[in-house]
Amino acid sequence: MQAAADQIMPVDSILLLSISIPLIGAICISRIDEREFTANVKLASLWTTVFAFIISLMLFEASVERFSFLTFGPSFISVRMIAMTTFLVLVAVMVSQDEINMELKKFHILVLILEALLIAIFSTTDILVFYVLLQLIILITFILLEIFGKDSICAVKFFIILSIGSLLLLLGVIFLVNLTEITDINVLSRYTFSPRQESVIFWTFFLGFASITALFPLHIWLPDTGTETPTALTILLLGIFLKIGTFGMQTILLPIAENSCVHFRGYILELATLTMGYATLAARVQRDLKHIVSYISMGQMALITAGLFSGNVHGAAGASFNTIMHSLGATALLMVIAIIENRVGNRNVDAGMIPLIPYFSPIATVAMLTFFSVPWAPSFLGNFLILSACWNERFPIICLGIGFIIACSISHGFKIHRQIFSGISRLKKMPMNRKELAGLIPLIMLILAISVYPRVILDCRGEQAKEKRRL
Amino acid sequence: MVKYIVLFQLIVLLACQSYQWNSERENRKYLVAALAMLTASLATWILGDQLATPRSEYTFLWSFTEQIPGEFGLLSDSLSIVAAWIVCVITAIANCYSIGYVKKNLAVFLLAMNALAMNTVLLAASANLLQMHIFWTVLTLLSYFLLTFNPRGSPVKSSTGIVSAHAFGDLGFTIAIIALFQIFGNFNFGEKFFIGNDLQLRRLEFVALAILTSIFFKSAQLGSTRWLCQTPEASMPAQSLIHSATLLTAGIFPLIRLQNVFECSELVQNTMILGGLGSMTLYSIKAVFAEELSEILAYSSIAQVGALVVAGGFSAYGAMIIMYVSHAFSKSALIFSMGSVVYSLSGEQKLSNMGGLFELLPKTYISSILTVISMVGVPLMSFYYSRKVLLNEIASANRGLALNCIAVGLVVVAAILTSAYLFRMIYLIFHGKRKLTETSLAYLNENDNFIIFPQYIAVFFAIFSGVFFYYALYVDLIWTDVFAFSYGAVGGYAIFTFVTVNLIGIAVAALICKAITPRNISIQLNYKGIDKFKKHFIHIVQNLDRKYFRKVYLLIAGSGRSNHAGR
Amino acid sequence: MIYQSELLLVVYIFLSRLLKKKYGRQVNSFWIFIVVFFFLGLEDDSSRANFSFHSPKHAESILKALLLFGGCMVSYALKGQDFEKQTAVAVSVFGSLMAISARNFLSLFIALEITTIPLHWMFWSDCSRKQTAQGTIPLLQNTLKLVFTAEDRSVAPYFIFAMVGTGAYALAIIWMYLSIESLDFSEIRYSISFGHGRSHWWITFLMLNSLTIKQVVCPIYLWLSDTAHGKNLLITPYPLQMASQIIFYKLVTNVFYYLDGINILLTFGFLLMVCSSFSLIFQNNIKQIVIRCILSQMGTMFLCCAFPSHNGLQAMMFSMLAMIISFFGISIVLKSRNINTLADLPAIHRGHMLSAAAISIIFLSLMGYPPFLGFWSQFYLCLALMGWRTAASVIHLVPCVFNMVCIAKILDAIWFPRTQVMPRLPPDHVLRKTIYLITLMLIAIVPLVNRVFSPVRVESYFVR
Repeated sequence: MQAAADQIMPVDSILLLSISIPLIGAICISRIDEREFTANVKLASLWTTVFAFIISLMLFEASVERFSFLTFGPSFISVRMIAMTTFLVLVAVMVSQDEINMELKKFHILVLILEALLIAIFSTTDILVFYVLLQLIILITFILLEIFGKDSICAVKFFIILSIGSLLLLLGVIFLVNLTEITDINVLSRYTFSPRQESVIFWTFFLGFASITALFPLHIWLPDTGTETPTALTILLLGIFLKIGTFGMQTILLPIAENSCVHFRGYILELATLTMGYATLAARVQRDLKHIVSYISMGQMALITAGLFSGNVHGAAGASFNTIMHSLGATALLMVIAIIENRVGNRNVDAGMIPLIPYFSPIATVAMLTFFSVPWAPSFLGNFLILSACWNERFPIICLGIGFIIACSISHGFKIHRQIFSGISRLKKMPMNRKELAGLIPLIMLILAISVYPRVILDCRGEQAKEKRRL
Repeated sequence: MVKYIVLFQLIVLLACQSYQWNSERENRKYLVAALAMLTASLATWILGDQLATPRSEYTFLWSFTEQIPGEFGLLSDSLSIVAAWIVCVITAIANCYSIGYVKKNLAVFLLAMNALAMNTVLLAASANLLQMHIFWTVLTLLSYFLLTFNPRGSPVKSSTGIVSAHAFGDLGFTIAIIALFQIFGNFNFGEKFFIGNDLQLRRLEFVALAILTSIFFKSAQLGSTRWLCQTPEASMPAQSLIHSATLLTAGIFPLIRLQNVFECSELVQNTMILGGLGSMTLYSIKAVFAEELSEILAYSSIAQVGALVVAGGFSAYGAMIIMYVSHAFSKSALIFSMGSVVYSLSGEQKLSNMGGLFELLPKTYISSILTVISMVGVPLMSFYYSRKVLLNEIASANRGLALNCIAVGLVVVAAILTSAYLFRMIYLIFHGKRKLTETSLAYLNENDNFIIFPQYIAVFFAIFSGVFFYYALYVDLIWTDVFAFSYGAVGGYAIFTFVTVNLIGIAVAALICKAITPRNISIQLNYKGIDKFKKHFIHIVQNLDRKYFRKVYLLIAGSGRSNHAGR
Repeated sequence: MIYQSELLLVVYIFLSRLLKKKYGRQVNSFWIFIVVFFFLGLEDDSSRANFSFHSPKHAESILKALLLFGGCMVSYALKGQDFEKQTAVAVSVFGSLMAISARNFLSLFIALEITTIPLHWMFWSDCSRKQTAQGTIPLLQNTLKLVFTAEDRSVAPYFIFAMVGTGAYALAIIWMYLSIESLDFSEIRYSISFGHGRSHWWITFLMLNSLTIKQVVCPIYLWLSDTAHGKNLLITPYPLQMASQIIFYKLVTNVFYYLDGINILLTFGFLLMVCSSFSLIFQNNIKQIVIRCILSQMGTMFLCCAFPSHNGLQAMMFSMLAMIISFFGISIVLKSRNINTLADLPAIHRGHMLSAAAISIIFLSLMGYPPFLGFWSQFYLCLALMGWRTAASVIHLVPCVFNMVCIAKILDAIWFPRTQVMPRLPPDHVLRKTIYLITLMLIAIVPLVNRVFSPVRVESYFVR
């Protein structure tokens, strides 16, 4: 009786609540008249995102049996991704309070719908649902880019390349469904395929996810899209959207096509190294800070992919760690760039001098260090684990290549730091206001906390293995 | 015991931070300096304690994760206490010195300097390789920060050079510890082990070579000296800390710590010997013909560290310890003295513009002369004993007569050249014709006590620390558990050799000073190749988008709309 | 009561004409279609259960339902217009219902002609009215001249090909009767499947060719899209073709089911699919875009007809439904908004958020973007193609890519804020109800229809 009642209305489903809160918020905002009550729109969306974040933290204590509904269920990695998503959307909404003044309602409604979709996609256990949600996310991001981007070509590039990638993904899904008539990921991971079938599945899925993760040569959409949008949208794109690809690889591709992953991992590692090298080189010649951030993000995602496909537990752990640290670091750095832009007026790297903003330098430095994955506290662990995994799996040249490229990007990062922060300022002092600090300080604290205590993200007690065994 | 040093360093850092928060309270900088001196005294006391009763302690702090067998802990044995002691003393001196030397951004400078010191102490006290790696890489960052804070305020273009070099060096260390982890399954320092088979030997060789590469980068040896030569604009106390802390603790300290790894194959040790000899000789020669003050200092450091590496190659760890200690203090003393000169001349570093400052800067002159005398190896002073022991070890090593002879010969030549360039430097700065303009003369005066006083403390340590350690290691024969190789007897002809060597050196110096006057040229660094590449690459990247994608887009989507005006 | 729906329609036609003549009252054919639709549902007891296409009777019921639904849409669009046109639509639907119940080729031929002639008449009457300052003047007296005027170039080929198709079809029937001496479906299926002699192959070829020509599709379709110029989208030949597709389906299932890979259908389908979607991306006229998109989907449906597969035929039916709904939605929206080209769409969302959203959703559904109805039709079609040959479904991706490019263009026009002058559109509330209805149909009908049709036994949420 209780089970039947639970099936009809899953009261315990915090997951359902966390997906529906942003939607409810969007509906409420759509009823507000934008011209009269501008402040209410901003406040409503802010409170909605805060509430969603708090709810998503409750998922950390979730168990699979209790909190699943329909095809959605929490797992170790998805809970962390959901928490990161809600946090970053919260930060993006905070950043947009001052930045976006036109088309407010559309922005907030679309962002909240996007948040709901992102939470759903990170918790789904069904391939078809994943694909449908992915396409919806691409669509809504495309509309956001269209409305708020400076040039329509970046949005069109984004849409076309991602559509091509996701059509390849669709082909893989259709192939899989045709073979097995099953769409549940957990069930499919126990299925055995012939090598030929598995390689078809592998390549279609991989190319689909590679376009989302912006691996070479499907990376074309990333630099322009990261540059020509307001900071809030760039945070969402670089912080969350790119991670859908690696998340898909980790939860869908690797469990289903295990043997193919092991067979083809040499190619994938080479591709990842190539992407990293290209990204570092391309970032070196850019003049706009946001362009540099986009290219380096591309390199980071390639590093995470390399970690995932190294075939080692250490590599996967390093990839998860780097995912979270990259999101936080990229967000912090983007906010730093926004602060600089507000004061200087442009984002040119050769601007040289910035005004003396008290306490800004350490914050910006931490952000920059995290972002450039400098091999010490903030991202050290992730990079170390990935390099260790590559070495132990007998890919020494790739390990050395990746290390070399990381070293190049570190020196580049410091060059930028020196250009921005050293020197005499011509402008007068403009200290950071409360809003900017309120966004940055928690982010920096979180980065430092995770770097010192990485157990939050890394799978220390073997929980993922336990989950696998249970299923 | 090291944990107390770390604790006191933390207190110093807190004091620095409080000074930074409120820069108007000038008295706080004195508090910082006083606390630093207190730390140095504590470190000295702990050293004495350790020398009296050598023991080894381990303090556990926390563990990383369960996937990586690494812990954060403090290992307190003789080697780490010696290294920590050196750093604390030099930092204390540098703190006092900076109060007088650095006029702008003092708070941040003190913070960076003390953070660097703390990091170096933690590096010295690391309990495993992973921890050492973390602090090794943080050293890069802190060195960078220290170098960017220029008292004169203009941007320091060369500070990123240090990062570039260290980044690649750190890569070598990362690969090395990953490979070591693959062999042994943990990150410990490698106690005595037996090499089971050829594969393991080859892997260990690779590890040793990788660590050696990173050490070469970090200590600015052959092949990666550019970053050290590019720091002329940085302030002097910063340079002192870099030369002693970064170069030595990051460069040479791991050599001693990981001695078991380096002992495993002859290839590695031969590489060390040859590399060290090369840099030692080459840079000693370059120093003789140098034009700028900081150039001489840099080349001299490189040469001395080269000698240290040679000592490591011959497994002469006793010699290494003595030389390590004496070089740290001597170089700091020298830098402080020269810094005082530079400060008096308002930033002038070219030797061609200096001369005849003997009467104008008497106190500085005395400290410089004392340091130089110590460095050239006058008996009863530090370097004499270090060279003596080194030559003895090299001569009695079983590497083959050829290598021994070459090494001995080159060390002697380097000694000659050392005295040559040092005396040349003294002569060109303090003696000879005065080349200053009238306006500079008007501004010139002896510096205040904050700059003079620390110099003398440094000189004191420079002269006597080596002596002290010689007696501790070779006469009282303590720490025989740490260094398992015998030291051998010392011959009586050494004194005669050294006196001869130094006299020859002085003669060479005199000849060169008279014959070759320094020219007024500046070093120009060319990056033509990189600029061309950058230009071509950005051209490709930009035009790819403009030419191809935009055209396709317009073909498809442009037909329906007349203009594409955005917002 | 087998033929009650057809009888009802006939009754309606006569009664309505009588009413109009005697009392001058006009009954909209929309209502009769709704009534017949419900009667259809009562035909079978198990109609409320899972429609599974396993029995021919069920399949025919569903086909009839689809046709009536299409008829509903068309007559709704014609609301308030010419009574003659509404009668023509009713006659056409009657003919197609007859065609579905046909059991031999002759009856199929007659039913086909009953279906197509009223639509030809509608097309003809539209072409022959000339717009002048005084209003629309019928030019029936200059019919021959009209055929060769420069204004409507598509008229001549349209009728020529219709006549050629009819003629070829008649020829095929005669040939068939002479060689096999029967026109019954089951006998012909038997003789074709056992491959007696070469002539049967020729008959198949001619039959299919004629039907294809009659539907005036690829490779001669390029001029066809001009037929939509200046007319309401719903009374262009496209409803005709969609109706004829059903007849195609019937033919293939009953007669040609055991032939593996009907080559002509494969060729036509492939060419239609790829060529129309390629030409899609260079279009600016919205009607052209819609027509070419639908043509490419019809090409896919041809491909599905070409090989014997249960899944394929079911997917085809589903796709028909999706196309009818999308077609209807677009024509309603465009007609109300007077939008013809992409240049009429710039930044509609600024003032007309609901219109912008509705247009976006309708186009997304048409182009096959998830999770709308059009996507599921493409999905099932692709699944069916994958079941036959993997290469076929890979080729099916090509029009999908072009569709994505096109939708990017359209959404770009709608959502990117440009500095042009905003078009003067009527405010949103005028058509709000219709817009809500259509959009809801496109979104909400998805899980229901998935449940109902379920061509594939997939253990996913939608079919649980």
